[in-house]
Formats: sequence, structure tokens, C-alpha cells
Amino acid sequence: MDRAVFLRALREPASMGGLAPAEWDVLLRQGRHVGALGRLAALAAGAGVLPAVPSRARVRLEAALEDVEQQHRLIRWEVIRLRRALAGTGLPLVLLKGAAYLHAGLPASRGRQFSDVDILVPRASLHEVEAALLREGWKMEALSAYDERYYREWSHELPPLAHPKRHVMLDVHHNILPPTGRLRPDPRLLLEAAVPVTGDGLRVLGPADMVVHSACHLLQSGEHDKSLRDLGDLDALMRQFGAAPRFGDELAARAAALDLERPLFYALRFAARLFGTPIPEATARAVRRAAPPALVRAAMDRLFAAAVEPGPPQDPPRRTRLARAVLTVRYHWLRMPPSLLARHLAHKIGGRRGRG
Amino acid sequence: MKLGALSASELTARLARGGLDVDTGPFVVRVETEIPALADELRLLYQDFPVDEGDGLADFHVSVRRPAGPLGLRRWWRQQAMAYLDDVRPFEPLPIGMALPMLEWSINWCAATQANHYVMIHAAVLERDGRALVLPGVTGAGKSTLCAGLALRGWRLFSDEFALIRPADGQVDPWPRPISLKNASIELIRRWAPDAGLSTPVPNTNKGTVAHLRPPVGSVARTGEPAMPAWIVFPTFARDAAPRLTRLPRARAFFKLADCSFNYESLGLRGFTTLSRMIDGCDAYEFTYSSLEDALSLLGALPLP
Amino acid sequence: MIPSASRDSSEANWRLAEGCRLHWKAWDDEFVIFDEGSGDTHLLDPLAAEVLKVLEESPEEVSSLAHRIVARLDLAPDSDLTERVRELVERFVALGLVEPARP
Repeated sequence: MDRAVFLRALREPASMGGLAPAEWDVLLRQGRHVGALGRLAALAAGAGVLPAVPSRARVRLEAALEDVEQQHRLIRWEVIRLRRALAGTGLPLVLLKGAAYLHAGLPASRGRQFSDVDILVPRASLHEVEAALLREGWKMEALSAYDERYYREWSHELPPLAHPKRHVMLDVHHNILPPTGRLRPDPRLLLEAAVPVTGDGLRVLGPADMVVHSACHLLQSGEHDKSLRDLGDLDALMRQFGAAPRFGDELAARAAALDLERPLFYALRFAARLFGTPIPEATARAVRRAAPPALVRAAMDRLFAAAVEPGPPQDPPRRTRLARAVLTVRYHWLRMPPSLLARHLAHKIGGRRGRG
Repeated sequence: MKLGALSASELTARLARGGLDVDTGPFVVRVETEIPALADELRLLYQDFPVDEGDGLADFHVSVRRPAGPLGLRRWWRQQAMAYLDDVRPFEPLPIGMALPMLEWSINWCAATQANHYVMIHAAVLERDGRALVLPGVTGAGKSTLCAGLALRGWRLFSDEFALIRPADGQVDPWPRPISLKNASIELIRRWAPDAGLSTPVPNTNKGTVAHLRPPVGSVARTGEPAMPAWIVFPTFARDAAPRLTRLPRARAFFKLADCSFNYESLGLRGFTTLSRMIDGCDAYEFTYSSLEDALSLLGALPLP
Repeated sequence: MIPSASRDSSEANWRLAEGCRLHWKAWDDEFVIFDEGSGDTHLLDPLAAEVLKVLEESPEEVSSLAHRIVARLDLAPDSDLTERVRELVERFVALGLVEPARP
């Protein structure tokens, strides 16, 4: 499926007012595949072009907006429950990603579909947090012994939890990247710079940290189907925060402090190409220093562009499948030392089929 | 233009090349297939539905194809059919003889997962005197047989599977697609209405023998006419039982209805308000019956709320 | 730990849980409520409905809650009633509808 219509809709929302019904046919399907139908709807509403959308398409967009509102309500509820469950630990509750955008009232949350909650806690408090959650009724998803060990020892998060009454997935992170990887951002920096929202003990990452986090997650995640949506987050965050006069320098400084200049380079590069995301000059200069050699850059460009093609989830064109396979291997390399990686991949291929 | 007006070769060609957009009322379904037998069945069952010529915007996209194996070859023995919904494959492949049931289930699946602008109840719906009768129930309560029986004797068919309720005004939108019948029901309906258009029964499916009943042409012609619901009747088939219709208290009816909904839980307040209003405006009953004749007379005599 | 309605003399104050937003519908003597916060739907009998309605208005402890209900429903005062109210409060706490009111 041609992605030009989809990307143009995200980059120039007003253009949705002039699309032919046959183009809507493609746009709605692509939007649904990448979980961005809500975002398309919010952008169209924001640009004031909903009345110009063919009625059968408009009905779907409006329903998507309502669905997103409902998801947001349930996430707010989940965070209230979380706050109460963890009140005894005395820790501030630091929200990440979607739940953070929502509670901070950021434009990045508009129309954004999500059903998980991600939080960041100090590694030293992991055990206490886990114990409190289990006491309050959260349950760990049933995993193989191997997968559970993978999470606890090699990963940057606990195995996923959910409260059986509500089935909202909770991911408890102690870092934003795995500790076994090549890149080692110091999570204490993130926690120290976290800012309060709503005055209830809820916190979110500082603006520059939010951008860096969404950038590094974009390329490090093993799930490329979410890449386009994450790039959309990055774009929204940059458009909001990038306007502030000193933000360009702050972002450059934080990326350096967190050792994440290279992922930020890639993410900003792809966001600019796909959405025309404006990049402050100070940031551009700083991350250019961290740029890879030209050949690597070109190869990554091609790989990434192919990987984020919003095709159908189960039968991506061969080009996309290969691109994703290569990026996935790269992701695992970044997460694990080669010896562990070999063991992990052998287990994944030889053992039971993945959960996905 | 109606689908039945297409020549057999034209229909086959359009189905195989890019798909045919069928206007089923609330949804335009793009059907794609290169399986000849399926084209024939569509010709029989969907002949009265308009083909959407216009604009190329379909609500659901279903492709039923023979799956290719690892070398790109397709099996010649024990041929299979596979459904691709918007290019996603939620079902395992089935014997090629089940291509039609597969198409029908796929369209149902699309609606259940992609139509949150409606509050959707798993129910049969029919209309008389301008008001809708909603028959919620799990599959196996004889809902489809009851629905077919009533639709062939004067009730206007809305649907055998979906009550599509509009949150804005509480009306039900008709979606009179072919009715699926199983095992003994097939013969029963054949005797009930010898002229009824039935597809060739497919034996040995995981649900037994399955056939589809062509929706009455009068019902298909009126897909643009919704109706306010008046009666919510929970049917139970009990062989040799005396027919019985008992009023159900409204609060209980609310919960039974919500239990039968595809999307009540995900709609939040919208779902609650819509179903509350529906319960306000309807009489709810539990209904035990053992014959279509009983059903016809008792349901036909239900007073307006 | 899920707080239980205490049985000693220093009674806890109870109130509608944070984030709850109730929508009410009554048919005959049964009540259906939808909580917009959690997305849950509940079926209540008249006594349970009254308990929740009172707590929706203002925080109460169990004994004063029982007193207010006696007045509102015009019931004969009854020691069993206080016990039933206490049980209902515990049930609502388990359902996430009611929580201790902070001092």
C-alpha cells in the first residue's frame, strides 16, 4: 500500500480536507494498522477539516476519537489506582510515554491510542514496588522461566503486570534502555530531573528527557510496527518544546549526558524526513557530531524507511520484512553482549513460538 | 445496479481483479476472490444488493483466497480457502467448500471489531409495524432459525446476528445479510418456505452442515429504513415445551443485554446511555418455544410498549 | 492493604473513591449505576443504592451513614441495619467505589 497519502496526512493535516473517497479507503486502513487512526482523527479535527471528509470516513474517525477518549479515561483510572497502591513506598510515581503525555496535558496525547502504563522507578526500589503491586492485586503475566529471567536479569523492566479486574498492562522500568546494552543512560539523571504534574505525587520526565526517551525507544524497540507512531510522538514533542528559546541547547546537553546522541541523531533525522519536524539548530549541530560514517548512515536510512512502511501487519512486503529482520538483529545486539545474544536467539528460534 | 444484473463472467472477473464493492446497507464490503464456487454463491445470495460503483471507499475489505504454500504453490488436493481481512488473517485456513461461511464470518468479525460508531448487540432483529424486535442470545439458542422463520412470514429482516443501535437516536439500522442455518434447521426452513433461496449445504464443517438463506428482496430493498426497538425478547428453544412469554424486569434486562453486546464495555458512557434509553423504551421478555408456529403467533401478538 | 471497615470505636470516614463519576438509572426497585471513571457498571438493590448515594454527597462513618439511611428511607431503626451497611461499605471498597476519606 502506498504510504504517501498516510505520511502526508500526518505531516499536513489540512490536506485531509481534500482527499478523494478512494484515498480515504487507503488512509483509514493504514491508520488502523499502525494504531494511528485516533491521531489522524485528532489532527483532522484540529485542522477543522472534518466537515469536508466523506461521511462514511468521518463516522469512522469520530468513532476513533471516542475510542481514544475512553482509553484515556481508563488510563487515568489506572494511574489513580497505581498511586494508591504505591503510596506506602514514599516514591514519586514517574510516568513515561503515553500516560505521561496524558497527565501532563501535552498535544502529543491528542488522539493517541495506548493501553499500557509505563513507569520508572529506582532499581534499588524494584523489589519493594513489585511487592506492593502484587499485594494490591496486580498479577504477573505467565512467562516461561527463561523469559522471566530475561526480563529480570538482562532487561530494563519487570515482566509485564496487569490487574485482573482491569487488564491494563503495566510496565515497571528501572531504566529506559537495557543494562546489558552498549548504550548506558544513567537513570538517576532522569529521576532527578523529573517534574511534578497535577500535584498528586505524579511526575513525568523533563521535556528534554521526554524527547530523548521517545527517540531512543524508537530505534531500540524490537517492535517496528509501533515505529511510525513513536515518530509521531517525537514530532509532536519537538513541535511543542522546540519553540522554547533554550530548548535546542538543553536537548543537546541532555542527549550527551545520557550518552544517547546517536539514537537522537537517527530519530530526529527520520522524523524530519517523514514529517518535516523542525530541529533547533543547536541540537542539529550537537548530534551531527555523533553521526555515523556516511555509508552506515545511508544504509540505515534505507533500512529504516523500509521498516516503517505502514503495510499490513502480517504480510509485510518482502523488503519490509527483511528490513525489520535486520533492524531487529541490530536491536538485540544493542541490548545484549554477543554471547548472551546467541543464546537468546537460539532459544527464540528453537523454542516455542513468540507471543506476538 | 444490483449484483444480480452482472453477468456471471463479469462478476467473476471483478471479484478476482481488485474486488467488488457491495453495498450491504450500513457498510460497503469490498469482496475479493478468485474461487469460482464462491462467486456463484454470491450471485445467489447477494443478487439483490447494489454494487457500489461510485467512489472506491469501502468499510470492510475481505479477500477469500487459496493460500499459497512456502514455494508459492497452491495445494491441489484438499484445497483450502483463507480469509484476509484488510490483509490480516485472523482465522486458520479451511476446506475450500467452506469459502462462503468463511466470507460471512469474516464480515461479521469486521463489524464486531471496527464499528464502534454503533452499540452492537449479538442478536437477531426483525421489524413489524415500524418497530424492531430484538432477539439477543448466544449462538445455539435457535436464534437464526427463529429469525429465518419470522423473516419468511411477514416480518422484515434486519439481521440474524447484529443489532446495530445508533447512539444518537436509539434506532436500529437494518443489515439484512444472508442467514446462516445449521443441520436440522436447513430442512425445517425448506419445509417452512419451499421457495426460499438456500445455498448448497456444506457438510462436515466444525458447526455441522451449514447453509445460507437468501435475504427476502423486500428486506434488502429497505436497508435505508431504520426502526425504533420496541421488544427485547430472550429466546430459548426447548423441545416439546409449551410456549411461554414472561416479562423481564428492566434492570435485569439491561444486564442481559449488555452481556450480549460486542462493544458495550469499550464504549463507556455512550454505551450505558444508549442501552438505558433502549431499556426505557422497550418491553423485555424471556421466551421459551418449541415450534416456529408458536413463535410466529406469540411474537406477532406482542403489544406495543 | 485493602482497608476494612473497622469495628473499634474510632470509626473511619468513608467517601466515594477518587476518580469515580456515577451515572444513575432506576427501574422499579433496582438501580443500575455506571462509573465513568472505571468504566464499570453495577446493579444495586435499594439499600446499597442509598448507601452509595449518601457517600456521593458527603463522607460519613458507618453509624452516621446508617442513621441517615433510616431517615431517608423511612425505615425502623435496626441494629442489623448498621451491620448490613458496614458490609455494603466493605463490598464497595472491594469494588473500588468507596475509600477512606483522608482526615
